[in-house]
Amino acid sequence: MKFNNAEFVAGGVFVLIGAGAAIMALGYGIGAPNRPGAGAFPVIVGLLLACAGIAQMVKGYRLADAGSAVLAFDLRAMAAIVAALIFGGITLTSLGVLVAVPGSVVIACLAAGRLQLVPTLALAAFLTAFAWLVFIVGLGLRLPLLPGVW
Amino acid sequence: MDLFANLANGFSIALTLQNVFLCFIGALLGTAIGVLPGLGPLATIAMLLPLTYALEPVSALIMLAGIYYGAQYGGSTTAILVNLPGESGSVVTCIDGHQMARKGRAGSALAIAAVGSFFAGTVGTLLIAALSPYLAKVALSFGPAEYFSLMVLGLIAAVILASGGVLKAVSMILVGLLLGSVGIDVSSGVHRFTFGSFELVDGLDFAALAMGLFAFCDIMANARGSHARQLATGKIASLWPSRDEFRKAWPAVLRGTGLGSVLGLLPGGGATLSSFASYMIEKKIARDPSEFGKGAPAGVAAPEAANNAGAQSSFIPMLTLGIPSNGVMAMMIGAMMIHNIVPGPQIMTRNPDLFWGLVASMWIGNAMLVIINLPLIGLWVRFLQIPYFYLFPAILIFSMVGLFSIENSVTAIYMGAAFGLLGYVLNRLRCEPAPLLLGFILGPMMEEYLRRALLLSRGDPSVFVTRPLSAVLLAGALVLLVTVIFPSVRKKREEVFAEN
Repeated sequence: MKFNNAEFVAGGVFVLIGAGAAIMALGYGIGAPNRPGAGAFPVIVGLLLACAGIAQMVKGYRLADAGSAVLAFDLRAMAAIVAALIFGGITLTSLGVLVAVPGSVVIACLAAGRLQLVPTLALAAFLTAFAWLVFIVGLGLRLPLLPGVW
Repeated sequence: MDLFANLANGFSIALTLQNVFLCFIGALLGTAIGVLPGLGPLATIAMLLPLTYALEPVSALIMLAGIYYGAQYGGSTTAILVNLPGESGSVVTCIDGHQMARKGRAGSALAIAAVGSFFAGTVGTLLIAALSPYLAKVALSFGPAEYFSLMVLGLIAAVILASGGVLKAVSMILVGLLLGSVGIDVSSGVHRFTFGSFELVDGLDFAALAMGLFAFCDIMANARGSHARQLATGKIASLWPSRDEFRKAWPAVLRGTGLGSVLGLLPGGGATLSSFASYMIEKKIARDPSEFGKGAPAGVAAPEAANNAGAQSSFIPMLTLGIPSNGVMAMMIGAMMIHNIVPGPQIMTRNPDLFWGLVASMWIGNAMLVIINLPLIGLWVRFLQIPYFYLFPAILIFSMVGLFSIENSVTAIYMGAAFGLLGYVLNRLRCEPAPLLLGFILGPMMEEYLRRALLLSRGDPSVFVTRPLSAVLLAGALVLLVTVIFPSVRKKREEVFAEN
């Protein structure tokens, strides 16, 4: 199998999404031609997507194109960015801007490779002040600075 | 004349103190973020979208248009100074623009780009004002079947005229159409693809999707190893082009403007296609083609004028038909929908102030950019030198709090993170995210028109081919699809997009 060919793998992903969506949408009711149900459109689109996916799998399988290999996943960056957003989401309303923003900045900076402490902390301080100024002072967003401190 | 009365009305709206100020802020922010290497107009608009939520619709659109032009101008600055295209529209500007910069003519290249773009923008604005009313009249006679077919044609053309693999782009559109159908179905009340989650009932959040796909996904792809500083740029001596450069540039500006205005009207046209095509033409008709690639002023002037004219005239199908021809226009439609404005032919009659105010502000925005860009060039050069290591956390924080601010809810942040992951996986599989956005925007409209057309025809699907206009549009889509499969056409297309 050609698990390294971007065309082939992308095709596989599209087949899964398309077929999955079409099967789920069948449950929403296709309706009659003069009164299409909630499932009609997603079923059609899902089937088309699955067909396009199959075509890509065939194409990727046939053409051993060295130039279109799957690009390397940077798991560290993925994890850092998602973790920074989740941390921010959890703490923003409960622990306040003064915790959420610097915390997210430090976690996000891990995506760049090794941690550089001084620039990271300086950036965290700057962005916290910036976020406070733009969103709370400027746009009047209701967010606590610290738990219970507004 | 009607045109001038309308434009005068538009200027009276766009020239209020508040709107001029917002236009200025938009253009300034757009330029500031657009010059940052690797941040194109899509990411810039996505990031700044929440700032416009609290404004009135007219003001919000004026600011967004300012951001868009600013991002585009900023992109060409980066292209010329560091040879890094911020977006696909300025890829060709890199070729000759950067060579000019290396010869010490950076200032002149920037001035040519700015003034050429301003000229093209002026022509493009007039074109919108002159053409839109007619197109809107035609569009008012469209029934649901015609609209559905028009959207099919628009999506197919967008795929074929854009660069990249056709099959992949079609698949991305289809994924977008599916994502667009998430949430409660308006006509039956069925919850689709909500997986029992209350948050998904209202559908996926447009801003979260846009930020995930264009901001978070970019960060994941580029964060690694971003400590390293970028190459600094040389000094900018003079902004004045020499007499010889001027003589070579102005006919190219005219040609680029003409070509860009026409190509921008096509679905899938807009900035990218226009700039590539105009560069090809300049190279073909030049007396000394060997100059190209080594700093030909015409090689900067033509694509810059063309991409601005194209960017401008792609507003025409968006405003009159409600059809986005590229990712940026999809973004504008998304922004309009947030303000409960449905783009389409009725916009001109129902919201004339909004329409003409926006058109007038486009010209003001373009003029402002020349004023912002040239004297402040020293500041933008500083911006350019900020390492990505300092930028991406800033983008992340700004987007994160921005997502929260939309509905005072953190759900949008999680949604954005999920779309960032989706976008990153697709990015690693070499799929471009812009077609997905097009599908997402058009999906609900397409479904509605499909449904209405079938309802009117009492369930007879042949309505799409028996109504003449609809049949022509579908035939056009089919012809496009078939031609792209033929090798000779495909080769030509690859030639146009092949980087020199």
